[in-house]
Amino acid sequence: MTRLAPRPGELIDRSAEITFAFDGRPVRAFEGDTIGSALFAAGRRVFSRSFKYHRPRGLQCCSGHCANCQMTVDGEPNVRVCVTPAREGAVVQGQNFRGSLDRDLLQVTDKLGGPFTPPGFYYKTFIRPRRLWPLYEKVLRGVAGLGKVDPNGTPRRRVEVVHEHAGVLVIGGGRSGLEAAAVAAAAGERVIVVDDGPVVGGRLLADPEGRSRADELHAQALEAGVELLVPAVAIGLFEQGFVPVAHGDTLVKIRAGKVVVAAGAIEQPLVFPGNDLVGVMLPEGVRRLVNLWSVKPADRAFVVTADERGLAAASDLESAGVDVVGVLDLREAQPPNLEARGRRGRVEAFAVNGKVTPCDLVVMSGSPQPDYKLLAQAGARVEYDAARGIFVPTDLPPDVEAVGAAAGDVGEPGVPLPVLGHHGDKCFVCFCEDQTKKDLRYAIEEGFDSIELSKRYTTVTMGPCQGRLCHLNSIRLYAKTTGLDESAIGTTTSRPPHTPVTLGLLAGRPHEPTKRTSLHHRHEDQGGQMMWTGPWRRPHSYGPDPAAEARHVHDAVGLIDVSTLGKILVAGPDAAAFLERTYPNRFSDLRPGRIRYGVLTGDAGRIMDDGTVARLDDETFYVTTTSTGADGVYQWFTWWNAVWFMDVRFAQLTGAVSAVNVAGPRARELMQRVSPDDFSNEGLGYLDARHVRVAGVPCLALRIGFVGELGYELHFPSPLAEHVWDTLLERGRDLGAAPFGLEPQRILRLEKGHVIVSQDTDSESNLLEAAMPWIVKNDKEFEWVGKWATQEVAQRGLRWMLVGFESPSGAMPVEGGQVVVDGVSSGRVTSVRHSAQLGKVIGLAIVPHALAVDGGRFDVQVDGRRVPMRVHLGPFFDPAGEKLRS
Amino acid sequence: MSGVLEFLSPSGARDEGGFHPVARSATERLYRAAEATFAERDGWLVPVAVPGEADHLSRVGIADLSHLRKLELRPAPPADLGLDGVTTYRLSPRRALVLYPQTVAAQVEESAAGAELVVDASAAYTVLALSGRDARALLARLTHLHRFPSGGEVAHVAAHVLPAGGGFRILVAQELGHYVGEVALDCAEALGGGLVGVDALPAEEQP
Repeated sequence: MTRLAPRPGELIDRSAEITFAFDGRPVRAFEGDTIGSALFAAGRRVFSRSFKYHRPRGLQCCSGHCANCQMTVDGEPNVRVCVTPAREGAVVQGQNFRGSLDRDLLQVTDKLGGPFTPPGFYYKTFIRPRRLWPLYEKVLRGVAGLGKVDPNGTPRRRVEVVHEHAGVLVIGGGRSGLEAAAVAAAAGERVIVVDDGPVVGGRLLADPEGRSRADELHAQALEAGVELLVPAVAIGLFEQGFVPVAHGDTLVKIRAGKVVVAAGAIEQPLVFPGNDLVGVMLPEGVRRLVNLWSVKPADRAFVVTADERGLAAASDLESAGVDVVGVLDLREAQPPNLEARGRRGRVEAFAVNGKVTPCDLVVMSGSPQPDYKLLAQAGARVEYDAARGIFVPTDLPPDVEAVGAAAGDVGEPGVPLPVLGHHGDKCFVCFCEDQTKKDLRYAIEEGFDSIELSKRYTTVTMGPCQGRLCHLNSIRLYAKTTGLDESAIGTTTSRPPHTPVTLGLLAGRPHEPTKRTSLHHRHEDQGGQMMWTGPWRRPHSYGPDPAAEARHVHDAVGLIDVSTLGKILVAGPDAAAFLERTYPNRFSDLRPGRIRYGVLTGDAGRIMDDGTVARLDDETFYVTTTSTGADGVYQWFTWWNAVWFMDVRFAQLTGAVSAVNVAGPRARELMQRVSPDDFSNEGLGYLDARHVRVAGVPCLALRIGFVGELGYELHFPSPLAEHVWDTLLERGRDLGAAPFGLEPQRILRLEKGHVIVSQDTDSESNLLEAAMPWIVKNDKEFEWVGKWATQEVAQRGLRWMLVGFESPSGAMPVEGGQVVVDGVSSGRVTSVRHSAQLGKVIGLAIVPHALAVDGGRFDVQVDGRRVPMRVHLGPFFDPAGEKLRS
Repeated sequence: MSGVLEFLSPSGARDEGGFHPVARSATERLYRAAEATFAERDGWLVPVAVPGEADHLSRVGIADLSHLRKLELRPAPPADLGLDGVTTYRLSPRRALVLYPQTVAAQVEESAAGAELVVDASAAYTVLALSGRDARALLARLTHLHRFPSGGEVAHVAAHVLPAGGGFRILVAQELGHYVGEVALDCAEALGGGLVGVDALPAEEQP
């Protein structure tokens, strides 16, 4: 154990012990510990294995900046344990090794893999022979990487998405952030502070002299009404003050009037041989171990620093009883050769110009870099300050402010490093991706002399730290190697996520918006096999034999829920004139109480939807659309009326009104049992619309027949749907009344040759080639939408035609199957079914216009062979429509 | 309502010919699963009580007020109708939705008679009431909306949110009522809340 005696200001509560498991063994911790601090206190030094070379890595920053401490916690890979609170019963495991974390067999890649894995190696090595690539890929994926996600695993935790709105959002709860928050709160704003924690205070926490100030600021903020979100990480900073924040298992989507970025600075490592050895740490990491968790980091420490931070760490180490065996202040001298030396990946000495000083800790401190990444994401420019050797944000977007170190206030100028010119290959620039000084120079020699290209080629800055520890050093290295200055090299684009988050958190709760008719649960009760049709759930059928359901409609009476049809009220003095302009056919002469079929076309004459139009009175029309077209047609109407500005209003009634089609030869008999109204041909003739009462419910009855039999489409208030449905089935039981699903409906409508828009038509279909010339009324008073384009089609001549066909051989093509004429693909099958009623396979197909004659022949590809089909014009069933009108 | 749009009105249903029509909300099955007690009110089957509703209300409760009558008026009236228990919500500068209990139906419909278009929208919307100290927290899990009344995305579908006493009312298209109810219940349960009956709502949130 390396736990120190109690120290003032420590975060741990020594009276509250907790235990978690690491690699199957219990680890004792205190409340307030992180998993990382507890493991370190328990003697663990190797926390991870590096991405490519499997080099051992230990704690470095203890601030969640680097990726050195990533472990798998409770099954979740890549958790930074240095900032993850220890919790009772947690199961922690190392990752990315073969054997054990301390003895990883794959470390052989560190010795042998270098020549095979230069930058861009996947374009150079492992590419021949090509047939072996699958093997190479499998091996490479197995050797390199981070933790593993179980692809078959079930979500372990519930995630939440919460929306918050604030006047001011402060990102960073250090000194500057808390001060800004208190000022904003005092001005009456709702203020939220987001800090990665574990508690607010930032760098003050790890400073014995700053702790009281941190507590003071914390108290002031709370008193001013500031809301603290800790520990929490801002994922990005988007337009209009939108900041998604990862807060445990909750994604908090914050929209703020103003965003204050007080993210502080990021300590930069130095680049020298052995700078990644276990025991080489950044000053803040050391100070946190000592002052927050009372852990003695080492026995003998060497400090090499370019600023005051290293000296402060040296002071804290001494107070913790660590023997500080050497301090090299790079502001005073810059020796040409520095090197951390070690055995089995752990530091054992530090050498300055060959003079070796034994130690088990090296504290390295480059110049701290403002954490400007979120500001850059928001649109701020980033400029190089040559005097101080740092990049600073400028030209902040409106309503975004930077304060403290994030704004560039990082104290006295440090010494611009990295230190270059030392011997040895393993001077790491990017710890996450195992990219060394040599790798970057290699890339530059290959021509990747732009930092953005280098990022993509070498992957430097693309690892889990998102460039926090490597961005500045890679830019400096590029500048030094190319002879350009840092300003000319520039920075790479900062993109969210600023800090890695799980995809599960980003995805949030799994929502699948579902539209259900008011009869949905009745369908399930009655054995309906539900299927998706657009956003709706509808019953495919109610049993294993849809064909039998279709036959039943021909023989007795069937009920189908057609509530998904779009329903739009078109009302006003100009209603008829409006419909005259939007539809190709005529509505001004439609009498109240009558129905007409209508097809909508776009400006280009392409078919976009169809349905029925019933005139309820002189100024009121009830329009139905396809199930998926309801919203589109409503928008289409409102859009055109914004152009024409006619005296007409629209109301979307789709969900408000349920619709049930009662169809079959016994439909009339059933209706007379449940209604006092007259359903005879005299009372409600074909294509009539009448107000009736069914089972005590006011209904609009439409006498139409999509399925080819005598039918009544009843439209009534949705909340009464179960009552109407149940009554119809109950009162019609002895008549054979039974529900039928969508699949039987598709068979029945195909028997009539009825078109389903978007199945039998596509984005190129027009009225003339969809065999609907009869609907086009070009002599109307008004120009209708699509008229010009339709006339153009007539002028250029018809090329295609939608026709019915039969399969003489009984072979069943697939929908979408190729029509073949003279060996050339010449159309496609749009619908096909076997009709038990007709005893044959029937369908619709788009074929060359020349074939659109009764008895015309064409072939369709069926199972790789051409099968002859015969054109059939007109309905297959009841061609005279006698049943519909019966 | 009568006339050519009578078929839109659930209130047009009557006991006749041995039939007893009862209107049902889109969320009825959710309440049944929670073993709610239902009562017929104004021609609707209304969940009036739910086991455990007191506990739920101590955090956040969800009641179904879909039986409230609703009229869509165009143009929107220049001011609220000024009747007790009546909410006038402007869907747009030219459209308003009026929510009202059956008890004042006659006055509301008389007031609305002069509008260019009057549509009974009682069947068009599911109305969910959120009540309890965590009502706002639940709402924050469902929508980015934060100033009320307003319309926008709730649980990823279009809806309207109205303030009501200390709680809120979500109005969503009837066909999405069950879905939004499921999502709201899922989130409420995570907060320690759940379904409640209409009668459990505080007086100021009652319809």
